[in-house]
Amino acid sequence: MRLHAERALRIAGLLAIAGWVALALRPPGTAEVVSESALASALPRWTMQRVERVHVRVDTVPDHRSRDWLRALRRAGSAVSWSAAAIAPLGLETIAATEPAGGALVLAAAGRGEGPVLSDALGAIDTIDVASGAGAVRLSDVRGAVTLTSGVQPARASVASAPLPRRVYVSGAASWESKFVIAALEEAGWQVDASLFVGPGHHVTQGVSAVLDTARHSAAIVLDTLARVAGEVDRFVRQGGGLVIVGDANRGALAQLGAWRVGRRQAAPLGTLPGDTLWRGLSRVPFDSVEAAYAIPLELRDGKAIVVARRYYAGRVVGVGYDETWRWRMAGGDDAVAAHRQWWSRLVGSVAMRSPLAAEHATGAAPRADLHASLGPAVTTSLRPARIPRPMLANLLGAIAFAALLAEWLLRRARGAR
Amino acid sequence: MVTTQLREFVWATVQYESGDWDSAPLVGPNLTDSLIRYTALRVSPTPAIVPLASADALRFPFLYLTGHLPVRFTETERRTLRTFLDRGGFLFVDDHNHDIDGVFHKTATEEIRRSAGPLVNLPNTHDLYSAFFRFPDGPPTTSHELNGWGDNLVHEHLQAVMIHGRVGVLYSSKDYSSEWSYHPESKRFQAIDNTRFGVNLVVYALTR
Repeated sequence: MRLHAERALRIAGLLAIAGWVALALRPPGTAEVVSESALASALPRWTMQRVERVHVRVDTVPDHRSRDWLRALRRAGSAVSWSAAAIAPLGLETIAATEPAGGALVLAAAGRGEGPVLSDALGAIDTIDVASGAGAVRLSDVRGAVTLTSGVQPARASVASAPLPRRVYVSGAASWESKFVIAALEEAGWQVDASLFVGPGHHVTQGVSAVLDTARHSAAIVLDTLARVAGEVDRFVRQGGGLVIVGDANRGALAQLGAWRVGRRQAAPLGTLPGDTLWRGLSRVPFDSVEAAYAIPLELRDGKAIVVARRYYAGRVVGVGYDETWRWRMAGGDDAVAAHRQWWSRLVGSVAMRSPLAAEHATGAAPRADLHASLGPAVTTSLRPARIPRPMLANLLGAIAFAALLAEWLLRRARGAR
Repeated sequence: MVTTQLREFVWATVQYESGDWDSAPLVGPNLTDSLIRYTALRVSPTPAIVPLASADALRFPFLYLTGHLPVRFTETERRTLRTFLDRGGFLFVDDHNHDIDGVFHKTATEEIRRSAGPLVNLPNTHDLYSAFFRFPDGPPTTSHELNGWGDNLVHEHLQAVMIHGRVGVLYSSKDYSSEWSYHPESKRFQAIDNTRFGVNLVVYALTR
């Protein structure tokens, strides 16, 4: 009986040694499959011992470091593939607002499934309606990175810190509209230079009374038809400045900058409240014949464009048909002042001159798309992840061999044999 | 009569519950005439009268208030005035008595303090004095001051309540209401147009 046990232990020990040697001598070129949790420890090993083929099974998109590492392995000659049960397709982009108040515009897209949630460092902000596949949220204040989460998959994008915009130049006749547009912009944090016509040879100026210049100003607002400034404004916009043309100013010398024609003035029906956002005041001039190839309507009322926008050389131009917005502010509801201020600030921010480096203002994330870009499309594989990792298996075989041979030697010594 | 579709500047006189708000009915037409004469502003040829207790007061960002008698605002009038000033309106108050011991001055300044805040002396170098015509010595004197009527004082400063860095309420003890009404006893307008300072008030209100 004891002899049989000794023989069995010897055979087991020798087999374990054979296995350990075989494992050690096993040439590179084998395939390995790992799950997401084992990826971090597998990457250094695959780097030290060249592996011919690796396959990663993931539940979420690996982080940027792991993706880059896998990509490097692929370029070093290993065949790298991946598969996933289900990773929600997400797209997230943040664009820093060109307004003194800061904030960001967040564009989010997601596949159908669990409702994606938008959050920042302080917590959840909103959910995105995915019925249409995409949504836009304007955030007045963002702390940390913006995260869009669907199921367990997050997409994170930081918000770039845009430099404070330059000054705004307002030109027009002295009127309530010009006064309250300036007031709204100043309350929103803009620095305003102005030249307001009072009478022949008499302008009331505010701020820096210098020529309109992209070195100093990021946008201009023209509230009345003043041929005097037309050439200056044209040059300013060609160089990248923003321009807001209000009401009848769209008719005159600045008409060439717009791709639209001004229609007949409309008066609000009797009984219209000054705070009615359909009118934003009590009169407006609609834009007819908006050239679709050059301009897009931003606000439509009764089928006619009231706010239109276009690019003009390096700059942006917005035509505004509301020219009595001061009534909205003065006689509107309780929130009229804030609404008027915000509306004008965003309008000016939308055309304000930006840095030519778009990357300074926008950041984005699309995890699944990034994974595709890094490693190609997902593939199915019949390989299974190893139950015992190779290093651990080698150690195990070594331990078995040592234990079996030690036991066999002890048994032999116990019966007096050598 | 309040109209809703006026796109021009309208000289609007405040109608308040107490006192004699209509003590200077010629100021509106006279100032309107001067604005049209001197400037290219779009000005309504017809002045307006607007009740301070009505939301219609918010349709006129420039309001003129005067009188001889005590001024006691109702709570609705106070609320409207606060809203008017918070939103950027300009209120010009003139003591038609030219008497700082008079009831109008005492009650009107008390109501202004309660509704808008404390009145402070406006420096004579303020933009108001150069908004259109230049008044290097500050507010122009009136016949009532020079003739020694009323409180027998020549007031060196106007007073103001500053709101967000702008003049929200301008208070005068100089009786411009009499001066601009072309009263028979005030003949100075024949040599110097005494409404020129009124033009400055309107230009300032429209541009600051």
